[in-house]
Amino acid sequence: MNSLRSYATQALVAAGSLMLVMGTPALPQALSGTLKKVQESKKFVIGYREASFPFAYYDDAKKPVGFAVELCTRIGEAVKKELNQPEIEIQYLPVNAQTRIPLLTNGTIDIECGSTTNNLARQQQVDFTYSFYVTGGRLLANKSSGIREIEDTNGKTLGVAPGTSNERVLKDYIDRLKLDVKVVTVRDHAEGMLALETDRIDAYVHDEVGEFALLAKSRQRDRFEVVGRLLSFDPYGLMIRRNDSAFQHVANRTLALIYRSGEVREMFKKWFDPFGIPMTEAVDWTFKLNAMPD
Amino acid sequence: MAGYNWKWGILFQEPYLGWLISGALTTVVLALTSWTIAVVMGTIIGIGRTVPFAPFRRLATAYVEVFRNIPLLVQMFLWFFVLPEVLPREWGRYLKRGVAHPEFVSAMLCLGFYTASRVAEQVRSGIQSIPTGLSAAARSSGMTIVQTYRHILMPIGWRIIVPPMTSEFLGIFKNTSIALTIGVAEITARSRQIESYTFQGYEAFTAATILYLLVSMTLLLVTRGIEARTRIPGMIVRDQATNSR
Repeated sequence: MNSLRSYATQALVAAGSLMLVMGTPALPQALSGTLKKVQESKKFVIGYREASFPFAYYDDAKKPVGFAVELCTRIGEAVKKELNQPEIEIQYLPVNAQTRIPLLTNGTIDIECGSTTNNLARQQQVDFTYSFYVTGGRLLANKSSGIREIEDTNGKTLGVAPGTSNERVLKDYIDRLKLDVKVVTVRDHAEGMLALETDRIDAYVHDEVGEFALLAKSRQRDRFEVVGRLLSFDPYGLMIRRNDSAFQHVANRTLALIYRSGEVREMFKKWFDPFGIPMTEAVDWTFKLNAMPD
Repeated sequence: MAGYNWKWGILFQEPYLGWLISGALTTVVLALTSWTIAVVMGTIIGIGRTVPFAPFRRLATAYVEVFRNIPLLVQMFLWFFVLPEVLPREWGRYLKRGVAHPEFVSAMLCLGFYTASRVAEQVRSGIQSIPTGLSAAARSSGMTIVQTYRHILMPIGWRIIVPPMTSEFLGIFKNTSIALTIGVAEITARSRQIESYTFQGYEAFTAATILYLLVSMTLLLVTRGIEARTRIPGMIVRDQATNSR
């Protein structure tokens, strides 16, 4: 209770000083939120997912790497420069779907790097940077199942990971198209692939980009195929604490620079080509839209 | 939590409320069905560990050691993913596709077989705690071994082990949460799902905690009644019997 009260006091003081700052622009800029915390603790902590290919995963040396991890590291470098404190250390901490929110809100990590969909419901709890990549749900089907589109799934068994946006989308399609589909929930995407390989399901519903990554790692990849149209729209964002516009600005500015300079296309080649993930029209447009001018 | 945006109302909104309720029901049904398997099998195997025939005893001991010593999480995986692959093709196919809810059936068998090994140990200790004079007297008055077990050892043994069986029963409720690893949508899985949709994880897991607590407390009340009814005065609960309520 005490700490709650002191948080409340802190919040009031913070709000008060914010008003003061806004009212008197001549004063030097007072830091708040993540920037203030990083300045004081001298560390910037990146929370990463351990198996979100190709966004955040371990390389052979058990080091966190990936498209999103590289973006986050660049944001960390930008924070160091912004605060003019080169001694700030960038640290990496693994998170999972259950720990990412608590660790972000309690200040253990400063940014989450993985493949987290930015949606309005989640924005009530956290903020996101610009959407650095967009994808959507598609079907990863067994070739012998004859499934080409969601309409072909009548009488078939489909797998989906619970709690994903794909689960919601799949249920919508089933209701709307009045399909007779048996839905099997699996714990995670690796088990989804296993269920597909062991013939438990005829197709797995997952983000297109994740499906390509699963295929790339499967030993039986010739038996399966990503088919059909995009069933949903999933913009991925880097997750940060709410109401922290100063840090959000530094992060978005860093992203804009990477996207504007065209460096992002080099990064795409580096991280996506090994998994055989093609450039889509939507991704191409995301890269163009994120190139915010200075 | 300075940065956390509490929204308790989420628990009472659809579809989240419905998920919690269906999760709680799944947990209860899974626990009860696997408990039935556990009690039936556990009793047979527990008796098997005490009978005067060495082959039975060895078989029962082997069962207990195998199922008690492999982590439950591993067993869950073996039942769900490995068993259908080693069975003949048609059987495996039936387990994977023919059954209405393959993940539920696997979880039920897994929890039942695992808890049976624990129940068997309780049954064995119940039987072995009965003074040997009783069974000797039964045998010398002309009862067969089956009759001795049926009329003397089991009625007493069962009543002695009611208290430890209560904790096994509560244990099976908590162990149902492991079924989420193979996709059973029980309480814990449902709260994770709510967490993932809304990012309101604290509310969801608090709800799950309270639901587990409610189930456990209800069971505790029921089993306490059973314990009071079945206790044999002077047999194991001597001190409780003297300062009884």
